Amino acid sequence: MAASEASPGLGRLGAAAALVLFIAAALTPFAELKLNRIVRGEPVGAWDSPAALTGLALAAAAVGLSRATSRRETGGLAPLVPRLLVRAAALLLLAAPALMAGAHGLGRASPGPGFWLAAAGLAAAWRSGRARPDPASPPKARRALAAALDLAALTALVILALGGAFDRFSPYAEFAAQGPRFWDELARHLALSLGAFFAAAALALPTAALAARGGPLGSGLTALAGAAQNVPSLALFGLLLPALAALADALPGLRVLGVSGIGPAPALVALTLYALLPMVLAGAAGLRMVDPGARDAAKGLGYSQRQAFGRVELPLALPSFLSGARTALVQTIGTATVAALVGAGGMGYFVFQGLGQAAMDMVIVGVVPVVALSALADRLMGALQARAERYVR
Amino acid sequence: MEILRYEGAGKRYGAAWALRDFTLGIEEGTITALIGPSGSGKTTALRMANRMAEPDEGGLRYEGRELRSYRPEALRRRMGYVIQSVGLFPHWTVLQNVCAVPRLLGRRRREAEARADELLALVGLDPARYRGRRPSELSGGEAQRVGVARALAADPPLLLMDEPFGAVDPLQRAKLQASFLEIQKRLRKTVLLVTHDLDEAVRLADRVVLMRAGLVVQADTPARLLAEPAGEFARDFVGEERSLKRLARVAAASCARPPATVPLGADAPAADGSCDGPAVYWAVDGRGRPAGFVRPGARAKPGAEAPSVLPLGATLKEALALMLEDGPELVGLVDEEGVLRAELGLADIARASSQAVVTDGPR
Repeated sequence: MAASEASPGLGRLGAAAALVLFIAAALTPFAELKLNRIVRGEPVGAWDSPAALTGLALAAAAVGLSRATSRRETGGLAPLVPRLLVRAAALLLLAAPALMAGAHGLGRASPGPGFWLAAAGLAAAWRSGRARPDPASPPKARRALAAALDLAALTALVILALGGAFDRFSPYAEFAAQGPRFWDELARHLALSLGAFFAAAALALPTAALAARGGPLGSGLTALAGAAQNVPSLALFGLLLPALAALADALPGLRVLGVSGIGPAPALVALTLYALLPMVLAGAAGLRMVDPGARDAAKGLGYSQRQAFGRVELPLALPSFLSGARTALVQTIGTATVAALVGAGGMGYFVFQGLGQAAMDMVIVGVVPVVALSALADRLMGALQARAERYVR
Repeated sequence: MEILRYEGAGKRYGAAWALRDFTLGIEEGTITALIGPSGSGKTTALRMANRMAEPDEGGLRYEGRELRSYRPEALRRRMGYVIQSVGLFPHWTVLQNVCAVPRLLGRRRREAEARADELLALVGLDPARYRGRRPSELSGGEAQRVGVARALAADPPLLLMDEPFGAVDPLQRAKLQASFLEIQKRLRKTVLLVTHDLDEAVRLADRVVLMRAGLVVQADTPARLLAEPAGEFARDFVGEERSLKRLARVAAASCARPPATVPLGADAPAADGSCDGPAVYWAVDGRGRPAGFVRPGARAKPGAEAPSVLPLGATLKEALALMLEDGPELVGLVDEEGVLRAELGLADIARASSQAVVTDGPR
């Protein structure tokens, strides 16, 4: 958190990009209103919707305010105002398509290009309200208020959703129609990605240690991980199908454990192989960068090889390893979408179902959580990495 | 008693011998310096002592036992190890670094930390100020002091030092050497030291082993190495100004005289015409600290510049260097409170170097 507190809220470039996106959003069709989930809809612009126009205006105001406050130190809660505006704008823009459908007396509204442009602008402006630290208001108090603000916005979102405000918003309708299935697949997606990530991390550490030592075994394993990375994901799943099926046939005991040609087993194996390379390369690079003096001292003071690795070399290589782990985790969460093709489930289930039924709104139900999870994973791993870097300096 | 003995030890890298037929006994409580140009085998010899390098021929004995019979890790934990690059662990505090070996040996944390505080104080670092610092927050000299404290933490009888003061500037190096001698006076460790700096070897060591291309050229006391270098290589290595180097062995205090002082505000005695009286007096303040010079018969006033002084433990070489740089007729020796204790001039140094004052006696 300290790192983000120190970074300026919204750069000049970010602000300009956000404003351009908001203007474009106002000029392009914001929603498609239609009778049911399959038929083509009728495009309607933001100019037809007070909610969408207000939302865009608030968002633009937030960007302007954020730039103004980031230039000088502002006392008290002023830096929180743009933050509040951005969250309010997000709620309004999210509710706008459903309101438009209601106003036209039509069943559903799908997001149009204007909606996505506005969403991109909001993503750019999301950091506004994080102005430079102000000595008058301690960052701790302001951070607590900012968190309270986000919590309030989230509560408002849930209340609106439960109150039916989004019922005519087509992606939300698809989500609601899935019922508990959505949460099951989300849990499966998380289990797949995290399982593969941790398995890969456990394999990557010893491989990185071997690779850093420069032996033939280490470079061979690195080459193998590199080769796996180069096989297209769909092809790797395909290659694993007969391999694991044959394995399960040969060893029936494995079948009891859930190993078969389709399902989570090939998906886990493939995702683990994919996640391996970034962590092996970054870990080996980190180990090679350990100060030779520290290494020699550890040996000379009487550390055994294992003690020197665990207590000196590994901690010093940790920031580098974590940068690889960050890449690996973000990549794994995204790639796990493809796992639905081999029957492993996950958010890919909605993506491929939606594609099959030509129901784009169902595709959105699968894609949006993946994007959100990736962004969250990136932030968390980034914070962890920054912490590790402070620890070894 | 000999604590460590090399018996015809040799080490080969490929076809080339890094060290050949190396035989040397190291007496308990002494400082032995291995010196020579790069590639002379001195570091290889040092690293054999804690089994960081294994001999290809011959062997070593430690405390009378075959070195090979010790487990390397156990052996290393009983020998202090200081290297030029210091090699402090950057992710640990100074305190954790100093506690490294005691913790390896399974000592209790509280015990190890109390000992670490003592050692930090011993190497001249205030424990309260330094124990929580990170290595990145230390200067080169401070880091090297922590390195020495870490090596001493488990109270090893033998200390191995590979160019320990090589990475710091000359001023820092002189300070580190002085405080190392202070520490050694108290702890009486056996020290095996590798250096390429003859001044350092002469100043610190009881015995200097000059090496070249893996062979011992001469193993002698510093004074004898300087006075009677054996052969052309030794003569070249010792160099032309070896009488100057010998001065580094002599404490300035040993040939200094009691100072002639006059309190500030008083008049210095007038010259009586004979040549016996001092040509110049020290003007000293109420606590005996030098403030300037005063000619015979004149009134003592603070001088425009602070007079040139050295600590009591300075060597003759340092005194001479100060005279040549600053040009004072007299150099004062002051104690820790800055009180003037002795004075010496160029003539005193000339007398000392011409007489047989240069010995290997206790410094």
